[in-house]
Amino acid sequence: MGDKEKYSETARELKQMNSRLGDHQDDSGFRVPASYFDELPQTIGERIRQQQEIPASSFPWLSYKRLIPLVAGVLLLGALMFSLLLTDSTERYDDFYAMEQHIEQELFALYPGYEREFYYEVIMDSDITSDDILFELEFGIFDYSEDYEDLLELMFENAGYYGIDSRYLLSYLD
Amino acid sequence: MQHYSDDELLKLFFDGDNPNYAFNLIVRKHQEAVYWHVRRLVISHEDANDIVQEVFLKAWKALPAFRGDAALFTWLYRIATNESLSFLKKKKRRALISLRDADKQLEETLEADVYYQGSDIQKKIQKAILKLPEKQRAVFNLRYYDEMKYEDMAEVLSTTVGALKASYHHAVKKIEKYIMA
Repeated sequence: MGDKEKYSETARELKQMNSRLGDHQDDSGFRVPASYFDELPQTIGERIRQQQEIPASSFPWLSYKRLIPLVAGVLLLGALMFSLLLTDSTERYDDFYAMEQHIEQELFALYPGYEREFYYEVIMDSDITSDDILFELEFGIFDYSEDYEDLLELMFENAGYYGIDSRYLLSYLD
Repeated sequence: MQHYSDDELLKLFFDGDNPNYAFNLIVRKHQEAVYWHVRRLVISHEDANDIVQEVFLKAWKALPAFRGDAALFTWLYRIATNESLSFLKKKKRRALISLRDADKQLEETLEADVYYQGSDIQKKIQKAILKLPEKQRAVFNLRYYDEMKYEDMAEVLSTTVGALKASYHHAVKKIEKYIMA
């Protein structure tokens, strides 16, 4: 569709609304510095190269981003085990495990394209803020819905557990 | 520059010898649309510049997992929208400003921006747009300035065509009311 045709489509729509805004549609008044769009691809390319050049660690999983959830997870797991010792261990473990199972089943049922490994990878690579996790997970890779967002929020709240569950953590690190 | 379709660019990215080169072509093709969309939401050129770079870095990182369910350009718009709205949310949170003051702050940014050279009426329209809730601003800008089809907007904003039409209609009425006041 040509620009003129497109313009007439939205301009026609405004006319139907008895609006005169169509007269000012072509320019919002914003400008950019000279040569900005000539230089931007180079700037972005440079940043990509910088990221690519970051040397791989001998212990890639031990980066600070991963260390924080790892430590949090170990502490959480420790606290959980301690609490299990103090209470009816079978019942507590069943509750905890059932909750994880329930959420995962729900997630799999709602989103067949859900990739467990990718989810954990995102958790591990993120700065562990709900915004970041939701955003990383959201763009294009998964279908979006408010339910899904709520579910992810819930999972985020339990990121220490869901993100670095010892079984998945070990399989991820392998 | 040779003009590639998005499908050709994706093929070049996935199957070609040099994905960085293919991605550079993707940036060149979509940078302006992404930039203007972000700029109209965050107003300041400096903020828009930072966000656009982040958008393309995130796209570069996520592109290997791109399933092609959405068109490349709507996917990029979607990242750009989320990144911009998230930026505005963080900015508000950081500055501890109320929703009411947020549009005033953006108005001040608009007035102070050396890269804003709108006429009186263009400026008035911008100020009216800033009175809208953020998501409605995105709806209005996508339709009014980018002339995006409602079907594509539905993909970008994860909502229905009907809801978008209603939102756009209300936005137009609110802006006109502000301008006429």
